[in-house]
Amino acid sequence: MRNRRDVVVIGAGIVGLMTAHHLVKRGVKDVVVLDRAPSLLLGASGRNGGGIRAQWTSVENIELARRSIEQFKALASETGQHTWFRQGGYLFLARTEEQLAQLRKAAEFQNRHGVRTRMVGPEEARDIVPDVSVTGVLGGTYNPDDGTLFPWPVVHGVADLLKHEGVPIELNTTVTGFRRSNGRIAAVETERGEIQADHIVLAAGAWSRELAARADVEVPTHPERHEILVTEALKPFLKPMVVDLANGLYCSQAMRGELVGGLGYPHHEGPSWASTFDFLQAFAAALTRLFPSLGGVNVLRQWAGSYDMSPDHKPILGRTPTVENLYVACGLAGHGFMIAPMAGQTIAELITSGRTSLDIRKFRLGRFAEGDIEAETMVIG
Amino acid sequence: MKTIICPCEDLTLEEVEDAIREGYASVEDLKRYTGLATGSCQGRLCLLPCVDVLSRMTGKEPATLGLITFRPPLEPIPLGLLAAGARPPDERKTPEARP
Repeated sequence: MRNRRDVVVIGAGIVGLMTAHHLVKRGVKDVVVLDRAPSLLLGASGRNGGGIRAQWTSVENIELARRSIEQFKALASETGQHTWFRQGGYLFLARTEEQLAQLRKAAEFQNRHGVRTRMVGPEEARDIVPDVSVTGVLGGTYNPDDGTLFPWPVVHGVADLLKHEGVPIELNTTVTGFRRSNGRIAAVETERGEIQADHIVLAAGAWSRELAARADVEVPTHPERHEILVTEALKPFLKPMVVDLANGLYCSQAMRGELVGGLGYPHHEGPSWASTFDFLQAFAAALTRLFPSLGGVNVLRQWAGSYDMSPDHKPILGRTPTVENLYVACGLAGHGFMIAPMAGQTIAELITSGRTSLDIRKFRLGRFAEGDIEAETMVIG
Repeated sequence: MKTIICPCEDLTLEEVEDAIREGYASVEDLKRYTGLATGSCQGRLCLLPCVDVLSRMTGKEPATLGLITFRPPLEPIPLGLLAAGARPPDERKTPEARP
């Protein structure tokens, strides 16, 4: 492991890898990505449901998502690995007048910002998903440009690209601290030795808070365990990702045929990977209420991952106010994978030019101390 | 002639060998790169042959290679059966899952 780099990225999840990828694109090639895990995909990037959507309730989140969707579209040809990306849309279903009004307001907002979300009645929901039971469903929203992908080949593809570009991904490398000098980080200390760096990017998901604290930077996020499962493969019948606002159920059919889904649930503070039988039962009840015909479908596997929750469910992106060469990309609150391309691009832009193509004031770490926050309300699962 | 190593996911021996040559040289990496052990048998049929191939190609002892993390449920369970036993939130077994 070389002991001096232009940029050290901490975290080999999709956000860290995308940051390195965008740095290379901008000519910064002396980059290393560190991760304490023995393999890729053991954190949230390998444990999420692969949903990609632009149905958000703030301009910043919409822009992050929309431009990320554009990058995901091109990724398979860039990496040479099939990403199973498919734009089948996201269908949100409301069961109360209040939920419906919330969706209507969100749809109008999204339309003003270039997202093609439309209101659908129960019958139109059935046209989009013929097997769905709309008993008790008042209506919903549908954006045909949302979609799903398979996170594994996305991460492998970008990692592979980086290897070919000469950017090492050092696994089994735990960061233990930072050597400080004049308000900057002079070097990243790891169990395998020290690496001096001009810029340090912290993209460690649920471990970001703990790592930031080692540089005396307070990141107000907390890890939350979310559970998820997969069924046996079925012939294609489910076009969009379906979300039931009654219980935060989300479910989509991946391109290999299996159903993947999770549930809004009293989530355990993590980081933890324990699965529970309660989740299995509660998810099965919620899904078969929506799709009574799926009662005979087998669950194959369940697991869990950690969301890194920020207080307003919005990302924390940018340079930290107190350590001038430390950048953070965390607090992604369960939608980190889907915005990773733009999160990575934004950090790379900051490092190379100090300017960003996206307005990221709302994502600055300082907003919590300043009390300038508006919560994102469309967080599910 | 093709040798199938993972019948659930239609994986051939050759595909697994290719993946190992590309650098996916642990059982966990092979699972995530090839889909091995993610089908309906959850690894019962394919994992030991996979360890054998990996051992042969990397020269490492099979016992040092490890397997995957085995996830619940132990056997595939139909959604309808699980749903029938679902408890109201305040009667859930796991304390942290209660509201």
